[in-house]
Amino acid sequence: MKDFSIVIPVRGNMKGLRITLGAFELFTTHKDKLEVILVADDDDPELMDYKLIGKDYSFDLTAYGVPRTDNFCESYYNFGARKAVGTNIMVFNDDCYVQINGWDDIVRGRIEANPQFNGVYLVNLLDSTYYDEKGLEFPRFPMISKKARETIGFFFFPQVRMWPADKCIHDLYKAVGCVITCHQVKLQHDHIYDKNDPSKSRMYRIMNEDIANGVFPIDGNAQAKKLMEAIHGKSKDEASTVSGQN
Amino acid sequence: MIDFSLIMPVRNNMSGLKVALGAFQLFTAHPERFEIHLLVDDNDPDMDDYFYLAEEYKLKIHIHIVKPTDNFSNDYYNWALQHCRGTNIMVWNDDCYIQTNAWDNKVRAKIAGYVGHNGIYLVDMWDSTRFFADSKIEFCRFPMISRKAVDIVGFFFFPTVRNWPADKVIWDLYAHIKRIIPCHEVKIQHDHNFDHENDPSKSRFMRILQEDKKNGVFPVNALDVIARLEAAINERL
Repeated sequence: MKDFSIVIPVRGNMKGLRITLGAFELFTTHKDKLEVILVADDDDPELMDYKLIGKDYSFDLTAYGVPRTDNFCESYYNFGARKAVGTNIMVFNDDCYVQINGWDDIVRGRIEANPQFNGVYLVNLLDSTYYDEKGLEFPRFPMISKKARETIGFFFFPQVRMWPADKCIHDLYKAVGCVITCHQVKLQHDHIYDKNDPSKSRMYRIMNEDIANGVFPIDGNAQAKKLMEAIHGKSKDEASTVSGQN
Repeated sequence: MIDFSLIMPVRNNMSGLKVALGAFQLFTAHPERFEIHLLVDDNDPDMDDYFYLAEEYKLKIHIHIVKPTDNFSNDYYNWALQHCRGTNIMVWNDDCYIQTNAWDNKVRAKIAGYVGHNGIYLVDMWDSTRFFADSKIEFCRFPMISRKAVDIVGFFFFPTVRNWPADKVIWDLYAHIKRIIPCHEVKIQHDHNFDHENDPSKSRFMRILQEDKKNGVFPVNALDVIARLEAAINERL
């Protein structure tokens, strides 16, 4: 049984990925309960390297090649989350690494201390970009229970192709009231690209297209209702959220 | 050339030591410019295991067997200076690990920004016990000091302060001469994994501290070393 599945879209940053995986190798207490899922573009010249990299680590690692698209959330993260077998699914980047030894035991302890959520929750770890330049506070790398993902049918809202998918999904779970804060576990997010970086420009373009196409605000009422039902066994009238307005 | 020499007394905490070494292996950008000196008590029950560590890590690890004493500052940290080849000396514990990738590049770059210090400085990295037990007193538990400064004063820690609060006393010295280089982007997790009330080693540390107080060790007279450091700083001016 796997407790944690980590989904990492990857491309052209093998050096960063080695740090990410190395930190999981070093700081995970129960590596037999961890799986890492790499999702690469099928035209990535390093795809074969991703498929072979698992032999260097003690945890299970699977690499998938998928068609390159602009919908990061659906084609990479949600795809990886559907493949995940762990009780908890965390999204990650290859410019990010865990910094706390025994992070898995710490998260497990926090989850076990919150049985009232009936297995439906988002775990809020503290990443180094937790407070953005606007002062907005939300985890960039949420962990969501498999039960919650299955309840609403996705990890990230699929219509939000890239940014701010993390903010939108946090807003949903926050509105439902099932966020488990676990700031003892720290993540370093190096944010290795700058505004002149083509990949960053691509992400801005995608977000601006989403804005122009009326993607925001996201109506999360249906999902909130489902989560409430899964937690409490019935719907609550106050389950209502609209997200992505910031 | 070695840029960083790390001195780490160890005892009977192999799992903690492996995390400390693993983190250095993972997060050191230039391991060829980094060396580690482990100081092992000659009666450590893990004695045999230390000698296999060099095979497990791609790091320059040196093992030194020492006689256990109560003077941690002088008989462990200061004693090891004779074996250190680095331009900068760091002290470490086996319940502590580096958390920042390429920490060495970051420290190197930071030092390069302080040429006016004339090679005399203490580098202040951010450890998780910086504000210990809700204290507002701020200082780094794991100072890094330039070799030049160490050679001028003749020690890393004041030898009269056998254990606690050697870190605070040396911090005060470099703060007084305004030669602290903040490098807070480099983070250190200090697990402080002994029990404050019941752990024998902690009780031993407390005993040593109380004895030092009783023996009039504090306040530490640093006038002589301040004069020497300031003379060296002003040498070229």
